[in-house]
Parts: sequence; C-alpha cells; structure tokens
Amino acid sequence: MYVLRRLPSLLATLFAVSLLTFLMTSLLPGDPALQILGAENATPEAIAAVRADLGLDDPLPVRYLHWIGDALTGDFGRSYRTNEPVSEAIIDRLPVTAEIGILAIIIALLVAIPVGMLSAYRAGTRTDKLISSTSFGLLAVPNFMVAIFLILIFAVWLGVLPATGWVNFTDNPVQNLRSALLPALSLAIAEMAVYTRLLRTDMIGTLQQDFVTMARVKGVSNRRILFRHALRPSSFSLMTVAGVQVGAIIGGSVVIETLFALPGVGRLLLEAVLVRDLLMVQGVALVIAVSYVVVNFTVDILYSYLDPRISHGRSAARV
Amino acid sequence: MSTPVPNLGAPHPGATSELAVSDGLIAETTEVAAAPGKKKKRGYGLTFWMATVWLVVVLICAVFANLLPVRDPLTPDVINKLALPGEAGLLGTDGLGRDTLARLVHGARVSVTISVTAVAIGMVVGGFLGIISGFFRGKTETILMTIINIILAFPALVLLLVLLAFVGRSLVVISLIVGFLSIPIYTRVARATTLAVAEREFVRASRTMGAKNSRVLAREILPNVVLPVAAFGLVAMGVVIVLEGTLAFLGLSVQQPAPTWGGMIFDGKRYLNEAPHVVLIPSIAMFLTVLSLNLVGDALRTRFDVRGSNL
Amino acid sequence: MRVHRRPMRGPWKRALASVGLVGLLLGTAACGGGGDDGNGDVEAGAQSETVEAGDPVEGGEITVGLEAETNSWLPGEGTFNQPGVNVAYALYDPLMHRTEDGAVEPYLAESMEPNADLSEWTLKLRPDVQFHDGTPLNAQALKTIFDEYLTRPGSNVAASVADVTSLDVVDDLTVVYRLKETNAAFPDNLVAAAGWPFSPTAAAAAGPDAGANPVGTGPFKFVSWQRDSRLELEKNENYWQEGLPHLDKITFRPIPDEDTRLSSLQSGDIDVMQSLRQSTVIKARELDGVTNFEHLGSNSGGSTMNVSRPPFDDVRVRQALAHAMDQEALIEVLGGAGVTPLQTQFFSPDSPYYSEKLEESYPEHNVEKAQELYDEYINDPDRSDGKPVGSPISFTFTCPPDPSLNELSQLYQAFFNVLGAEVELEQKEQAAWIQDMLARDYDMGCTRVGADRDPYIVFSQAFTEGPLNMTAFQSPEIDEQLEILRTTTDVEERKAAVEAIGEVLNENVPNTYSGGTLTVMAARDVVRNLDGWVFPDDTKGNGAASAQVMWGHVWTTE
Repeated sequence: MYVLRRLPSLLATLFAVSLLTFLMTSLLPGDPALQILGAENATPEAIAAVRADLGLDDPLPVRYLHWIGDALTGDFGRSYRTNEPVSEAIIDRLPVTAEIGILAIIIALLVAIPVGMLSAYRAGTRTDKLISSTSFGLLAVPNFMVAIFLILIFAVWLGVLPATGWVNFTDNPVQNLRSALLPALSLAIAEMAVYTRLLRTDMIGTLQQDFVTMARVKGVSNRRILFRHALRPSSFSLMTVAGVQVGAIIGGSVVIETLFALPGVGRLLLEAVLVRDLLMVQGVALVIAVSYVVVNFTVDILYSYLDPRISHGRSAARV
Repeated sequence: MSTPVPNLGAPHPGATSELAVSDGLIAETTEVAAAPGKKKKRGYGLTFWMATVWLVVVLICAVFANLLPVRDPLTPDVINKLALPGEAGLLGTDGLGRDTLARLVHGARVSVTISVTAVAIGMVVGGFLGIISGFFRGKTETILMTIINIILAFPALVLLLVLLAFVGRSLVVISLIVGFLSIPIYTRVARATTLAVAEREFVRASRTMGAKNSRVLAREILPNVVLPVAAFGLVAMGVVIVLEGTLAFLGLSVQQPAPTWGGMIFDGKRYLNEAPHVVLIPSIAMFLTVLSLNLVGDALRTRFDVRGSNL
Repeated sequence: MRVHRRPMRGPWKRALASVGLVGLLLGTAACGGGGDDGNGDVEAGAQSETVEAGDPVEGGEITVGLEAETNSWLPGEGTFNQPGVNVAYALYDPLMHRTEDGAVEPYLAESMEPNADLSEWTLKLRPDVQFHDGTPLNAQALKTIFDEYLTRPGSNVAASVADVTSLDVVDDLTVVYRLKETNAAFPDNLVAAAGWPFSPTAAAAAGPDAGANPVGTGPFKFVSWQRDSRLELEKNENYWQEGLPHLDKITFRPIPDEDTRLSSLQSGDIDVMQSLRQSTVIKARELDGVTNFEHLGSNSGGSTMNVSRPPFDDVRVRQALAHAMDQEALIEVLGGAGVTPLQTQFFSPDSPYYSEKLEESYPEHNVEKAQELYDEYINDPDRSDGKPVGSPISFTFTCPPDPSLNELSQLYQAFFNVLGAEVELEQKEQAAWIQDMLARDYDMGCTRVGADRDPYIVFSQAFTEGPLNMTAFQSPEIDEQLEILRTTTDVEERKAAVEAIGEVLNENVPNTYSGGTLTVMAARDVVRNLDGWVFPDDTKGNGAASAQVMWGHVWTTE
C-alpha cells in the first residue's frame, strides 16, 4: 500500500529532523546561562550553577536522548527564558500562525483562481502579459516592505484596520478577523503570484489535452470547459503547492509576526533563537519540521487517491 | 514562473514554491511544448529586450563597480544625509550621507554574487542529485529524496543563524549557505524533469538499443534536463535577490558596511516618512531586476521547450 | 504637545532653543504651550511641568505599547529591562523610589534608616498593606522573599543583594538588612526588582508558573497574560494609597518594531507608546494629538575599549580614537540631532551628579590631534601591539544587530579609517556580545554606559576588579573616590568624588560616548499625568524617567 511504502521514509525524516534540530541548536554560540542571569548577575559561580541546573554540562548524546525521550511524551521541557512549558507555548501560538497562514492561502486562492484562469484562457494576449508582469512584480518586493505599506495604507491613512496586535477568536471573532487581515494579506501577496503563475501554466497544458478538445468539439461552453474540465485537474496541483507553501508561510511569518506584533510561532522561534532559549528553539523547530513533513505527506496521499488520472509515480514527482 | 515568497521558516526560502515551479515546468515541457503552434514563437518583444538590457546594466555594475565613475559608497557625509536625488549625488544620499547611486552600483555586486553562486550551487549539486534519483529510481531515489525532505523540513532560520554565527557573515559564506539551502528545489525540479524525459520515446529507444546507463544519461537525459533547469534558475535568481532583503531585515545579510540592496531597503525603512526616496530607490532597483529575471526566464523557457519537443 | 526641555549648556543651548520652539509651535494646539524657561538649573531637572494635567478623572482604560515584554513577572526570575520595569510599576510597588532630585526615598516602605556606619539598614513597612491575594505585606513576607527567591541560585537579582549577609525580622513591620560592609548606596538596590515585594504565598502556590501569575501590592491586579501579545491588569480596589489608581484597566502590549509601534499610536490602537530611540522621539513629536513625556536618562550610547588588549592598552590609541569621533555626527545618525546633547560623562544633565567641568575635559572632535596621537603610537618602536613601525593598527569593532547601531558602527568605522586604522565590523547577537565583553574577549564595540542609579553602584561595577568591568580599566584614584562614595551620604562630597572619577575617565577614555539616551512615553492627549507622580508624603517623584511610569497616578479624560 502506498501509505505503508512511504512510512519508513517518513519516520527516517522525522528522526533525522529531530537529531538535526537538536544538534544545530546545541551548537549555537552564546551561553544560555548568561542570558538567563543577565550581565549584572553573571558571576562565574552563578553561571556554573545555572549550567549544572539545566544539565548543559552533560555530553551531547545524553542530552539528546533525554530531550527526545521527553519530547515523545509531549514534554519539551520548560523555556530557560520564561520558565513556561515549551509545549504550552507552542500550543498557544500555533493557532495564530495557522489562522494567518490559512487566511493567507484563502485570500491568495480567491485572487489567483479567477486571475490565473483568465490568464490561461487569454494566454499570449495583453491581458495575460499584464497579469504575468504584475505577478512577477509582486514577487519582487521584500515582505517587510509589503507589510509596512499595508499598515500605512489601511491603518494609518484609512484607519479601517488595526496596525498591530492580535485578538483571540474566542474573545471576539470579528476583531480577531480584523487583526488577522493585514498580516494575512502581507503573506498572501507573494502567494497570490505563485498560485496565479502555477494555475496559468497548468491550465494552458490542460486546455491543450485531448479531452478538452473533445469537449470543445462536442460544443461544450467555454465556461463549462474552464471550470469543469480544466480547473478540476489543476486544482490538484494547487493543493500540492499549497501544502508545500506551509513552509513559506511559516518562514514569512517570522518577519510578519514581528512587524505586526502577533503572538505566533514565527516570532516565538526568532526570539528564542536570539536569546539562546535552547529548549524553546528545539521544540519549535521540531514542531515546524514535523508539521511540514506531515502536511505534505497528507497532501501527497490525498493527491494520489483523489486524482485517479495520475499514477503514484507522477504524484511523487510532484511532492 | 511561480516564484516563492522569501521564506525563512520551515523549508528554505526559495524552496517551497519552487515546487510550484516544478509543477508548472513539467506542464510546460511535456504539454505546452508537445502541442506546438499555440503561441507565436518568433521574436521576444520589446519587454524582453528592455529586461535584458536592464540585466546587462546590473551585471556591468556588479563586475565593474570599482571602475565606474561613482563616488565611494562607504564615505559618510552626515551633513548631507537623506539628501534628495539631485541635491547631493544623482540619486541622493542615505542615512549616513553616503551616495545612493554608488551604493546601488556596489550593492549590485552583492546581489549578483549571491544569486549567481546560490543558483550555480543549487543547479550543479541539486541538478546532479535530481537526475540521479529520477533516472535510477528505487532505493537511490528514496534515500536521496529523504535527505532532501529533511533539508526542506528543517527551519532554515535556525540553520542560517547557526552557520552564520560560526563562520561569519561574509558574502561568500552567505552565498554558499543560500546555495546549499536551494539544493532541494533543484533536485526536485531536475528529478521531475528527468522522470518526464525518461519516459520519452527517444530515451526508451536508446535503452532498447542497449546503450549503457552513463551514455543515456550523458547523451539523452542531461541535455534535455539542463535547459529547463537553467531557465528555472534564472527565475530563482530573483527569489534569492529578494531573499537577501529578508535576511537584511533579520540582520543576517552581508556584514556592513558593504552595501547591499536589501540592506539599503531595510536601513531606509527608518526614514520612510521623512525621506521615502531612501527606501524607494533601492526597492525600484530590486523590483526591476527581479521582474527582468522573471520575464527573461519565462521567455527563454518557452524557447527551450520548443527545442525539447523537437528532439 | 509638551516637550520637556533639559537644561543644557554651551553650544547646545542654541540647538535646544530651536528645538524647544518647534516643540512649542507644534504643541500649542494640543496643550496650550508652556512656560518652561529652560534656565539650566541642574537640580530643577527635567521634570519641570509645562502644562497642568488638570484634575484627575476616575475610570477608563488605556493600552500601552512597549518595545518588549519581560520573560517572567517574578522578581529574581524576570529580567525586567526597561519596558519590563514599566509593567512592574503597575503590578508592584517599589520599596524605595527616586525623587525628582534623584534622592532615594521610601515609597512602599514607611522609612529606611541606616546605623551609624551605614552597614545596617532598618526598613519599616506601612501597616495594613495587602497583596492582591489578600495576604498581608509584613516583615516575614520580606524575609521569605529574600531567603527563598532573591538569593536562590540562578536568581538574577543576586548581585544587587550580594552584600546583604542576612535579612532579619525585628517586629511584624520591621526588618534589618545586615550588610558585609558600609554601603551608603544600598537603598538604591530596592528601587529595582529586589525591592518589589510579591506575595510569597501566591508564588509558592504557583510554583514554576509564578512568573506568569504575578501577585504584588501595586495599583493594578493581574488579570491575564498572553505572551508576546497582551498583559491585562485591572484596578486594585484595595490599594493602600487613598484615591489611587485612577484607571479601571490597563493593557500592556509588546510591539517590537519601532515603526509599527508608532503606526499603532497614530491609528489609535494604543494610547501610549514607549520608545528609547531618538528618531522615534522626534517622529512622535510631530504627531497631532500626542503628548511627549521625554526624559534624558543617565545612560548614554557609547563604545568601550578593552584596555587589557593591545593596542587599547596604550592611552594614546584610546585618546586618538576618542578625538577622531565626531559625536555630533554620531548623534545625527542615531536620529537625535537637536534633542540629544553631547555626552561627556556617566551622568546626564538631568542628574544631580552632572558636572560642567567634565564637559571641558572630554576629548573633543579633533582629527589633527587624533592623527598626531595615532602617528605617535604607530611610529613608536615599542608599540604595544608588536607590529612593525608605521604599520596601521587593526581591530574589530563589534555591535549588536540593531538597525540604528548598524548605521552607527559604520560611521565609527569611517572615523577610524580616516586615521589609517584598519577596522573590521562585526555584528554579534546581544547574548554572545555580552559574554565576550564579560570575558574581555573583544577589541572595541558598542555599549551603553551609565545608569540612573547611585554612582557607587555604577562605578564600582564598571571600574573595579569585579566581573562586570568590561573595559578592564582600573585606577587607584578611582578606588579612592569609590571609598568616599561607599561611606558617605553627604551629597556635596559625593558629587566631588563623581567628578574626580569623571576626570580620570576623560583622561584615560576606556569608553567614549555617542549622546545621551533620550526616552519617551508618547501619549494621546487624553492620557494625563504620566510624569506627575508623587510619593505618599507628596514629595515629587522623578516623573517618567527612562520612560518608566508610575501607572497608579495616571488617568484618562476619555
């Protein structure tokens, strides 16, 4: 079975990712003990005490086994910096990043599907070129500038959306959506361009296939051909890419969450890295890596079952 | 084609969406190209040539930065800081009063070096791994792709910070790291293309006629994979150039005071209200360059595909 | 808008006047202008009122945007840097606090008296003060906090209570701090985290989560905390000070990016914003409907040199580099031109320890003189770095990765390049950089010098044998003056000692300055009295010093 066949590779990936995460973070220069104590109180004795307390003086393999053993039971330890349980920190923040990411993908798709279809339908025309150039252009602006311009326009000049901050969905769904909109839009801009371009090429290909020609010959309307015959197969590629884009979303969220002052995973990771909060970095990195692997594994499986036209070999080629 | 968000989280910046690219790429190589006659193929049009000219200008700036008649990009002149274009220097000055034009010209060197090195590394190493795994399939493929998945899944931010902390933030190091991080994408693109090519009649024919693996690889596969991968590389250069801006935001770009476009944009962000030109000018330079790379890459790819179908 | 003008002298007077004018022109609409004559009286300090805050209004809520939050709200565990202290002054009350003259007086404590040789300090608490959980603040609580939290291994206030051998309970409301030796500056330690009583009962019950569930005596009670997002506090109905606090609710939000924090104030997402960056201070001045509560702290940007390492072990090199710097340009790049005065010493003009004499002795910008000293060194056959005669000195200049420091370090580099020195710039994460400095494993780099603290604490940390001496500079003369600071409470004598230390430093320049740190609390006009807090006995406090506000005294007219 396909799932079973992929399983060893999945497990190997997860193991390697955990090992890599651990090694990388342990190698970060800068003594976490010093960071915990602060410059004023960092006497050599205090540093030694803190290091012993944290088990930083154990050999690396011992530390890894300790860590991964606990991690498997859901215990990532407590942050050196904040003393909060790492797992709680991640659970608190994951929804923020997830909401913004999903919202970004939705916004991007809402724009990209009609625009990409138009572009494919009118391939080679002025409309197509305009759309292509615009998408290329959207990709050419660093995301922090996109965010700053959006804040200037929507918060400072128009005053319709909050500039920064986050409201929990459970506290106030409307305000929650308002606070998520600008960050999501900042992330969506580049995604939009990616999806549009993808859909365009994919659909141009589909539109030239025999079954479409057949449909045309049979007198099926253009609209029906576009939506029924062309969009459906292309939507599978979009799904694949959206899965892979999970990584881009998390990456972009590091910058976006800092600018918009959102309590998300990206900012958590950045701050943890900056202050050498090792257990936090390890926990967050592991969760990010695992979610990436799992999301793509799922998409891959779904893909291979939902799209009967395509063999598993092909789907593997795509993901 | 599809170019990704500069991405610093889980997978590598360029990484993710390049998958998108690989998708589109296959579609084009196998389908668009196979059904010729849809688009007019002759001539590239005005935009293509304008884009090419711009890229050549950037390249000249990068190569001959030291010889060009611009001022020193490092000499501060605080009295004249944030000067408007024309007031002091052709394009004004930055927050330290340094000449924007000079910094733009010298910054081109960084953008070009990083993008060319990264793309070259990605193309050679990633391309090689991709062809191998796509051609031999089986265990080789599983192992290679697992390794690639690991690199993709690991948050690039952590990797970058660790490596940069150890080896410093020189231009070479950053180029190498970004190159390393882009290997997975090329592997996937090359593998996908190889898979498609390997199914073609001429490859099958060659095999049936008893050609050795090495011969098939060198004679049949390689030439057909190199061009699409190279075309993709051109687009990916744009991604790397934008990525440099994100690195600057995170304080991870090339060591100051070396001018970089991303660094200039990030430094200028502070002055967005009082002196917007400080951030706009390097932004426009970056914008035009990335746009040009995409336009040229897109046009060339269409052309390469034609050759592919003719073979 | 109201601009607090700082007393300044010399060339800065003119600059100041023009800035003041701009400030007033912009501000008249909002606040009706003011009558501060900027007369240069040091003691009057920065907190001169220009506008009446009006009568207190009860009720209402405000949101405050800070540049960061702290890791934990438990004293001893939390790092409480500048924005963290802001929140702490809402949750907790400091036992001691600073008056507008810079003296340390009891705030939550009723009295603080030393014995004759200043080695035992007796602190009396006020009766009937309760923590938010209803338990009483008494001598036993202070002792428990001291024994079990402040001095435990890993406590990050251990250094400030290190010279306390024991804290003993005398009666229900009285404790004695017994010190190893005389220390006239001891009460200063109780202004900061070591002097913020929290409920030991609640902390013990919360265990490792105590840092996320603070229980103090302060004007506001903890409601909820979403890390990196918002900390919500509500009025403490049972507050020990009659009539305080005025606000019903206060929310603190960490917004790390300077530009978007300002945008949030502009768009009304937040009512008050804090900033430590001169450029932001100026931008905030230009906003309509916003009042700036500014303060020039005794904390200057600057650079330190590692005198244990050649070539910085040679005073000629240090002087040359100091003369090579154009401090006005450094300030200009930091965005503080016209608002931040040149710094020539550890204490700012707002501090009682400021000395005019030191203005003269600090190495001025003089490239020729710098070149002369530099050439003399490199042509010295016995030059300390062992390089051949005539070859340039080379060193690494390190700064943490901050946008403004990034530009600043490039300017430093350009100054040194003029002399012929080979300078390599290096960006190092704050944590690693501090570690290097503590280990004295660096050449030269960006630091902050000085603090709004007692000069004995400041100088004994910076220039003695201890682990916090990052420049490795020591001098018998400084040691001598430190003895005076440690054993005397007489203000004039202490001022003289500070001045003497300043002279030694200006002669030997182990560190240089890049302008004082101008801080701001910029508030929408409806938020009043951010700097008007008073002690329980109505002595005037030190206002919004270092952009730290006593939130119990603040109100909003909205």
